[in-house]
Amino acid sequence: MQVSSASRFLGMGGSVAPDSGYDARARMVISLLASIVTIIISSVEGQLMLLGASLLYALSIRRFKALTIAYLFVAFMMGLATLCTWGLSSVAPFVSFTFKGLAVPFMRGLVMLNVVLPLALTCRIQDLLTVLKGLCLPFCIYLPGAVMIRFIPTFMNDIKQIAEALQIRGYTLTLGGMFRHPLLVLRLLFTPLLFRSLRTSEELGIAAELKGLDAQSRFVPYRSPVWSRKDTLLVAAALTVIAAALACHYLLGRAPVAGHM
Amino acid sequence: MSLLSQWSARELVVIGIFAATAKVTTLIVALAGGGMNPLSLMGKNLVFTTLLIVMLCKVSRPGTLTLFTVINSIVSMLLMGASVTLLPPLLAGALLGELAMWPGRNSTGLWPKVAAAAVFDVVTKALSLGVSYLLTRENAGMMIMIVPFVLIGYMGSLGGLYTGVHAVKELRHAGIIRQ
Repeated sequence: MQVSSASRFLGMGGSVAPDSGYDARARMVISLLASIVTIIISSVEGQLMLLGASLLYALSIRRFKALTIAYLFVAFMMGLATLCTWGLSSVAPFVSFTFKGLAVPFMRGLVMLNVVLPLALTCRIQDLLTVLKGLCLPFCIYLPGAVMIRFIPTFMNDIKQIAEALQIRGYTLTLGGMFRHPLLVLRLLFTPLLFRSLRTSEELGIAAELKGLDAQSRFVPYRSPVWSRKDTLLVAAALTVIAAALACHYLLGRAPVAGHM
Repeated sequence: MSLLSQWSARELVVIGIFAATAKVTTLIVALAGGGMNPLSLMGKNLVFTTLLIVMLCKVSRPGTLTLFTVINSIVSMLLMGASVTLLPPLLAGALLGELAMWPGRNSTGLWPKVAAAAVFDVVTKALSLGVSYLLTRENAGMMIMIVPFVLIGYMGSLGGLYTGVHAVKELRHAGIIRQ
C-alpha cells in the first residue's frame, strides 16, 4: 500500500516504482553534486557537457513518457521566458537578448530536471525513510522528517476525498474553475485540510507518546540499505563528468558571456 | 534540557504533519492554477504563511521555525531534489524570524508568532532574489521578470498573515489550539 501511494504521488499512475538497481543515496549524491556544479559553471561548453551526461542518466531509467512530458512542460516555460525577454529587450535596451545569455540558465534547469527525475521516479517512500535514518540525524529532525515523508501520500489522498465530498455537495472542481475562482477553491479545499491536519497531528502525537518515542528510542530499519559496487561506479562517473565539465568551462568557455551585467 | 531535546514527540509530530500539509497544499495550488497564474502564486504563499502561523501557535517554543525550515529543506532535497542554494535564504529567514519572536518567547499571545512569520517571509523572498540572480546571472535582464513574481508571492504572504491571525482566533475559539 505504501509503495502504491508513493507511486501515485509521484505521478506514475498507480504502478509500482521500478527497482532502479541503484541505492537512493547514490542518486541523492548526484542530485546534490549537480545542483552545486551547475551553478558554478557559467559557460555553454561546460553546461553542454553536464546536460549531455545528465540526459543519458535520465534516459537510463527508461521512463520515456514521463521524461517527454517533463521536457514539454519545461520547453513551454522556456518559450514563455524567451518571449518575455525578447519583448523586454525591444522596449528596454539594457536587457540583452542573446543565445548565450538565455542558453546557460535554461541548461541549468534541464540539468536539474535530468538528475531529479530518476530520484523521484525510482525511489520508494521506504527507501527514503531508510536513508533518512541512515543519515544519523538527531531525533528532533528524524521524527518530523519521517512523519512528513510518510504522510505526503496520505494528504494527497485526503485532498482527493475532500474534492469528492465537495462534488457530492454540488461543487465541481475543474481545472478551468480552479483557474477562474482560485480563492473559492482555496477556501473549500484548504479549510477542511487544515482541520484534517490538526486532527491527524493530535492522533499521531498521542500515538507517539503512548509508544514512548523519544530521543533515546532505538529504530530498526525495515530494510537496510546496501551500497554496492554499481553505486560507487555511478558516483565515480558523476565525478568524472563534473571534472570534464569544469575543464571545459575553464579551458574553452572563459570568454565573457554577452549580456553579463 | 539540551536545545535539541526540548520538543516532545507530540510536538515533533505536529511539526512533521504541518510540513507535509504545507508542501502538499502549496504544490496542489501551484499546479491547479498553472505556474504563471498570479492568483495561484498568491494563494500558494497565502496558504503557506497561514499554516506557518497556526503551527507556531500550536508548538509555541523557540527554535520551532528553524526546525520546520530544516525539515522542509531536507525533505525537499531528498524527495524533490531541490537545489541546495535555496537552503541559505530559508535558514537566514528562519533565524531572523526566531530573533523577531525572541522578546515574546514566553508570551502566549499571537503577535510574536505573526512577527516571526512576517520576518521569515520578507527575508526569504529578498534572499531568493539573490539566488535567482545567481542562477540567471548570464542574462541579468531576466531578473526584471522574476522580481514581479516574487512581489506577487509576497503579497500572498501578507494576505497569509491576515488569514493566519483569523484562523488561529477561530481555532482558539473552537478549543483546538489551547495556548
